[in-house]
Amino acid sequence: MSLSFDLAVRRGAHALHAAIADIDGVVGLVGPSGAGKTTLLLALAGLVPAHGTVTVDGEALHGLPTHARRVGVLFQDARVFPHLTVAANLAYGAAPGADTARWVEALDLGDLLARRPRTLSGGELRRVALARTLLAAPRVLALDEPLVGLDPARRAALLPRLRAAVQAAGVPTLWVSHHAEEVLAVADRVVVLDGGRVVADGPPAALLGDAGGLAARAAGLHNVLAVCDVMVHAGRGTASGRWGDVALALPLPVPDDVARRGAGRVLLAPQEVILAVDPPGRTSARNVLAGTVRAVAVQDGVAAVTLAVGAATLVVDVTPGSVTTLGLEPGAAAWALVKTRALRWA
Amino acid sequence: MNPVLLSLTVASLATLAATVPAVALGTWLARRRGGLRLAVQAVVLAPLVLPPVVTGWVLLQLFGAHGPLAALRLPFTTAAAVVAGAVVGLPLYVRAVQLAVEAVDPGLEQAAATLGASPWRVLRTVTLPLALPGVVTGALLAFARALGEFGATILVAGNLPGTTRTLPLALFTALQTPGGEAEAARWAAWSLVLSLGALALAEVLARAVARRVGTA
Repeated sequence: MSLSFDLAVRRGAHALHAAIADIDGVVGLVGPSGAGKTTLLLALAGLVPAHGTVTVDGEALHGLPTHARRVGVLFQDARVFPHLTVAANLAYGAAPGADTARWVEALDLGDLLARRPRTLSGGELRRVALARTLLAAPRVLALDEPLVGLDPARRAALLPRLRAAVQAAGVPTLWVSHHAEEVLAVADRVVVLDGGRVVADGPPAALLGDAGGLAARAAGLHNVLAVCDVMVHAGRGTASGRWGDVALALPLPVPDDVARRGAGRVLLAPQEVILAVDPPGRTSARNVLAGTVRAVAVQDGVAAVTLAVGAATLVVDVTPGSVTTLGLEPGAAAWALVKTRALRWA
Repeated sequence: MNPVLLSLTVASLATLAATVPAVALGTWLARRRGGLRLAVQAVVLAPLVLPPVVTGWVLLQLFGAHGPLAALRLPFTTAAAVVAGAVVGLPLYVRAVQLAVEAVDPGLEQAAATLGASPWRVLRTVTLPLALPGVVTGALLAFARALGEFGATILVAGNLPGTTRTLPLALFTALQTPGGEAEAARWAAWSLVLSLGALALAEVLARAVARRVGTA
């Protein structure tokens, strides 16, 4: 199945105009707060007045009322009906012949069926809401930050389940997220919205690794480091690998598939890197990367320093004060101090 | 029928009769904006602020011998007492339903629509069940109000022993009768017990229903 749309929404001073074609599989929708991500999902579902077209496999949805569109929406606040049990919530929109047992199993809801929603945790409510949506046999899925508000452990536990369920549903999906890891893990295409417009559209690694670029900023800028020759040194509490021609100490545990292939990707948030302009002495940071400043961009009180390390680049966030004090300007030599723990497997 | 039983019967029937219009009007008023809504709201709430005898007079104009609904032959029957009770109870009922429907999270209604529920199904399966505590409160307030109705009742239903002489009318009649003070006191005590009982029941039931629908 394939989803295409070209929608314009005007809400007060805000205007949204987004056209995205040929969505099949999961598209990560990223962008800063207020970019129009949620509005776009609501417009797709017919929940806000919009002009334009929405088609699934050539069939027009835009003239239909919400209940006839079959655009399944997973709202940020789950919106599980409080007056119904979990089982009744699942049955609410279930399509004829829908396989309830399959989604109950996939999202691990077996123990919750008789429960009332107010006794459930945030993650449980998300799972119930997603199962309820999938049971309605949607033609399109729109997930509005399905993992927002969960602590990192719950997020990590829920992500694979949601991803597997969404992939099994096999319908065009828009997955709104603020987290680079999440987008890398679920999406095979990323669309960046900013100021109500599509500003980038492409494969996730390319967009998120576009260090310093708007796309990466919008998704919560992360450096994406492709590493190879990954080896585990359990005794020393680290793993090692190579990023281009630079040796890196990597965190444990190494994901199984990375250990098997010996290659993978790690994420590094720009604000977790320390910059030094003199060669640092002995430090606890296991990775000290020598490089050259390429560019410095100051925006919203943050200075983004682009550092060339061998053939690759890193973006490092520092304060504008540090830029002045350290004399960080293009051409200057600098060392990036990266704790092993600051690197996260994608 | 003795005045206690008659009052309970009339107030119960009045509440039943008011239920469909109260739920429909309350829901409509909760969802509408603009001039028409204000006009309808003013008409519905009028019996709350009008002297009941004026409400009764309006009913007489409608149902009386020369009124447009004269064919129903309503005046001076038990049914007339029921209509009077329903009309004076309606504003409280509508108001309670309206507030309860306005308090329902529109997000839940949106979620239901994305699951394929038509607006009518959303109303039946999401909005009204969640507003049920307000509907119950409204019903019991209307019941209590109908129980105490005097002015409109005496105008359209008269004061006929056994058919339209409800508790307040019995109390009034007893006071008009020499030596009727003891009887008047008895009817007053009954009125107190029934009215306060209805209010207490409203509170208890609304809470129980709210727990049941998961909103409290």
